Amino acid sequence: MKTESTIDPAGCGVDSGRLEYARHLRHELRTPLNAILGYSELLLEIAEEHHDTKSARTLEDIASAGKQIMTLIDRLIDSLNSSGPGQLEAGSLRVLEELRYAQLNVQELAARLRNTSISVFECEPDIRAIELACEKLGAISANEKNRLVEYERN
Amino acid sequence: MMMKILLVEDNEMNRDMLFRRLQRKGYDIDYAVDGVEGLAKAIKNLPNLILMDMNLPILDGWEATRRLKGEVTTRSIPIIGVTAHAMSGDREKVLAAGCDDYDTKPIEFARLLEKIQNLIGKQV
Repeated sequence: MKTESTIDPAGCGVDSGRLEYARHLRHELRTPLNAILGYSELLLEIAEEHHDTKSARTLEDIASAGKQIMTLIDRLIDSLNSSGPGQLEAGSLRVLEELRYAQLNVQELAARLRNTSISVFECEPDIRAIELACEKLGAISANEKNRLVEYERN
Repeated sequence: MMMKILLVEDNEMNRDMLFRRLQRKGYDIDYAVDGVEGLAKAIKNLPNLILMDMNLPILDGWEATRRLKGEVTTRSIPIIGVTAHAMSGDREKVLAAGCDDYDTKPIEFARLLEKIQNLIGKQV
C-alpha cells in the first residue's frame, strides 16, 4: 500500500500504480465521510426523539450533502482511473474543487445546529465530530489538489 | 440477554459513532483499536459477533480474521468485515479471509443492522 504522500503519478506512470493510488484515496475520503453521515444520522435519531423538527431538517440537509460528497468521491476515483499515463488531471481537479465546496456546505450546516434545540441535548461533541470530519475531508481534498497541480506543473 | 458485539475499528470518530449507534439499538458493545487488541478481546470475551474494520494498524483485519477463524474457541463467532475501499473484488477477498459477511463505508446503518441480526439470529 502506498502511503498518503506518494501519489507520484509520474513515478508510477502505469495503470497499476494509478489504480492503487485511487484505491488508497477512496479509502482516505470515505473514512471521514462515514463519520459525517453516521453522526448526522445519530443526531437525527435524537432530534426525532425530541420532536425537534428544526434540527431534523438541518440534519437531513447534512445527510443529503453527504450523499452528494459520496457521488463526488466516486466521480473523482472514476476520473483518476480513466485518465491514462501522462494525461493531465483536469477532471480530477474539478471534482476536488466541487468536493471542497460540498464539504464547506456541510461544515456550515453543522455550525447551524448550534442555534437549534439539539445543541442542548448533550450533542455538542457530535456536532464537533461532524465539523472535524469535514475539516479532515477538506484537508485531504486540498492536499490532493495541490499534489495534482504540482504534478501538472512538472 | 444482551448480545455482545466487539467493534474493532482504529478511527476514533467512526468507532465512537458506531459504538453509540449500536448501543442505542440495545447491543452490549466492546471495542478494540487494532487487530492485536481485537484478537485478545475476542478470545477473552467471546462476543456474539465481531465487526471488523479490515484496514487496521499493528495487525490488519485480514490476518486477525484468519487467526480467529483458525482458533477452535472463536471460529464460530460471526465476523462482518468492513472496508472503505469498496472496489470490485473486495467482497470476495473479505469473505475469502473468513468473514461471514461484508459491508462498506460509509455504512448504511439499517443494512448493517440487518446483517448483524441475520448472523446473530443464525447463531442463536
